[in-house]
Amino acid sequence: MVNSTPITVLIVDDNRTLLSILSEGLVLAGPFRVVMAENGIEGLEVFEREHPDCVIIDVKMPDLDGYQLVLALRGDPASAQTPLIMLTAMTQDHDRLRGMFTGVDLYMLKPVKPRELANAIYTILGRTPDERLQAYKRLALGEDQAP
Amino acid sequence: MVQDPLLAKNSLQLYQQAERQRRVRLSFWFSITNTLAFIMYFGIDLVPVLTGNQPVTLGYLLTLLGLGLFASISLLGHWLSRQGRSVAAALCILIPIFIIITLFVISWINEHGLDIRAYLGMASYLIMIPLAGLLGNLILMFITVTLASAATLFIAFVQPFSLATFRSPGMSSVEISNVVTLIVLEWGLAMLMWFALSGYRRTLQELGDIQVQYERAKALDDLKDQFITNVNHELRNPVMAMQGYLDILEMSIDSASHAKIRQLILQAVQTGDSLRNLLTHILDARRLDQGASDFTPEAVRIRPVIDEAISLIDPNEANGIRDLTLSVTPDAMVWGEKTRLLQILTNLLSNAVKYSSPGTPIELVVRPVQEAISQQQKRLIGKTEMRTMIEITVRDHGLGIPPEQIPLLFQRFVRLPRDLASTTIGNGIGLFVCRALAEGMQGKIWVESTGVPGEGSTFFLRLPPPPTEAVPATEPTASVPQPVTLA
Repeated sequence: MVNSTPITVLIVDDNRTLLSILSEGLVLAGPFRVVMAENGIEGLEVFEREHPDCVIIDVKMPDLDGYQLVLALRGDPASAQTPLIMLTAMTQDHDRLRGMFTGVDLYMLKPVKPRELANAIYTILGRTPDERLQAYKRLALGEDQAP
Repeated sequence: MVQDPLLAKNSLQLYQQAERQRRVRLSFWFSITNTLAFIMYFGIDLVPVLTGNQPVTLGYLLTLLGLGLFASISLLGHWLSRQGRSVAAALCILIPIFIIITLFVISWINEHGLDIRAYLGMASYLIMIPLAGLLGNLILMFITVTLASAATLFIAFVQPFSLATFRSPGMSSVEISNVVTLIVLEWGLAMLMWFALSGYRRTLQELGDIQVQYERAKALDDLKDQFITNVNHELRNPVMAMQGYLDILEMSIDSASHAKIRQLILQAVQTGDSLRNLLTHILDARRLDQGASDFTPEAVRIRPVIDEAISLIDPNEANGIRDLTLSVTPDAMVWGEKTRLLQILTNLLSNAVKYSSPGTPIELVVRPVQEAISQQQKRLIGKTEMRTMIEITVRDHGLGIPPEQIPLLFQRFVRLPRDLASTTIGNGIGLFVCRALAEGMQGKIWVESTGVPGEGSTFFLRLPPPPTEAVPATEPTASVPQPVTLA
C-alpha cells in the first residue's frame, strides 16, 4: 500500500452491516481511516470531533435524514467545503436532483462496492473548484454520476 | 358524496347511489312545488275569509285542513325519499296531485260541462306519468298511467259528483275520440318514458362500470409502483452487503488468514440466503394470486407451531431481547394446515417485534371463543346459534396503527406511510398473504388498535377447531413471562 497520509472518511448510515463492510473495505482499498455514525445527529457530532476529509451519507435515516444532514453540513462554514457523497437506494430522478440542490458532490446508487467508493473518494478529493462546478452541472443535466 | 369507487362492490352500487341522489333532489323540488301549488289552490278560497269579507265556515276549515294535509304529505314525500323509500316518497308526492287534478276537473265539468278545458284538465294527468318514473320506478309509472287512464274514463263517462248532470250513455263521437286520444297520449308518454329511462339507466350503469374499473386499475397501478419502489429499495442493501463481502474477500485473499476468508464467505452466503427469503416472500404472494393451492386440512397442535415460529424470527429484526408472554390453552388445536399456520404466526410475531421498541413486551394468547354463526352458515350447519373458534391474539406495545389506516394494512403491497419512512424493513406483502392463508383455512384475521403509541396493536386470528375433537374446558394457564432471547 502506498505510504501516504491517511484520508479520514466519515460514513453515516443506519445499517450497521453496511457500515462495517464499507469500513473494512475502504481500509483495505486505500490509505483510509474510517469513522462511523448511525444517524444524522451522530454524524454531526462525529464530524465536529474528527474533521474528516470526506463524508459518505446515506439518505434514509431516522431522526435527521441524509438530506437534512447535507444541509446542516453545508450551512456550517467548517464543513461547507468538505466533499460529500450521497449513497442511496432511491432511484427516482427527483431524488437525484434533490441531492444535487442540497450541495452533494456525488450521488451514488446502491449497491456500491468498497473499491468503487474508494475510487469515487479519490476522484472527488482530486478535483479543483472549477472541476467541482463542472461536476455539479453534469449532475444537474443527469449525465453519468459515478466517476 | 359518492362513495369510494373501489369500495363499491360493483358498478350497480355506484349507479344506485347516483340514482338515489337524483331522486332525492327531484323529490325535494317537487315537494316544494306541490306545497306551493296547494297553497295557491286552497289559498285562493281562503283569501276572502282572511281579509274578513266572509265568515269562517266549516268549508273554510275543511279547506285549511286540506291544505295542511296535502302540504304535509308532500313534505313527507321528500323525507321518505331521503330515507331511500323512493316508491313511498313518489306516492306521497303523486297522490295529492292526483286528487287535486281529479277534484278540479270534476268541479269544472260540473260547471261547464265536458269542454276542451276539461280535457286539458284531464291531460294534466300527463304530468304524473314522468314524475312517477323519475321519482319512483317503472312499475310505479305503469300503475300511475293505468290509474290516470282509468280516472280519465271514469270522469269522462261517469261523472259521479253531479247527479243533476249525470251523463246519459251515448256520448258523441267527438267526446269519445277526445277521451281515446287522451288515453293514448297517456300510454304513449309512459312508453316513451320507459324507453328513455331504460336507456338512461343502462348508460349510467355502463359509466359506473367504467369508473369502477378505471379506479381499480389506477389504484393497482399505484400500488404496483409503490411495491416496486419498496422492493427495489430493499433488495439493494442486501445486494450491496453481499458484493461488499466479496469485494473485501477479493482484496484480502492473498493476505488474510484462512479463518478470516471463511468468515467473509459465510457472511456473503448468509446475505444471499436472506435475499432468497425476500424473493420467496414476494413469490408467495404471486402464487396466492394465481389460485389457491390444494388445501388438505388436518388437526394441528398450536403450541409446537408457536415455538417454531419464535425460532424463525430473524434476530436482526427483533430489536433486542424481548419478553414474550405465552398464554395457551393446553392441547389447543385448529383445523387447518401446519405450514400455513406457521407462516401466519411467524409473520405476526415478526411484525410485533419489528414494529415495537426494545424492552416493550409482547403477548400471545390462545383460547377458545364463541362466535355467532352467520345466516349462510346456519343453513349449512344447523340450528346452533354459536360455534366455537380458536382465537390467537398477538399484542405488541409499539406505536399502534391509526384506526383510519387499518383497512389499508391487509391490502397487497401496502405499507403504512409511517413505516415507509422508517428504517424497518417490510415489503407490504405479509399481511395480505396472512389474510389469504387464514381465509383459506375458513378463518379470519384482523387487527384492533387505538393508534396511541404505547398501546400498540392486537392482531386477532380465528380458526375453526377440529370437527370431532372437543375443545378442552380448562381455563388458559398464564405462563410465567418467558423471555425469548432474540438478539
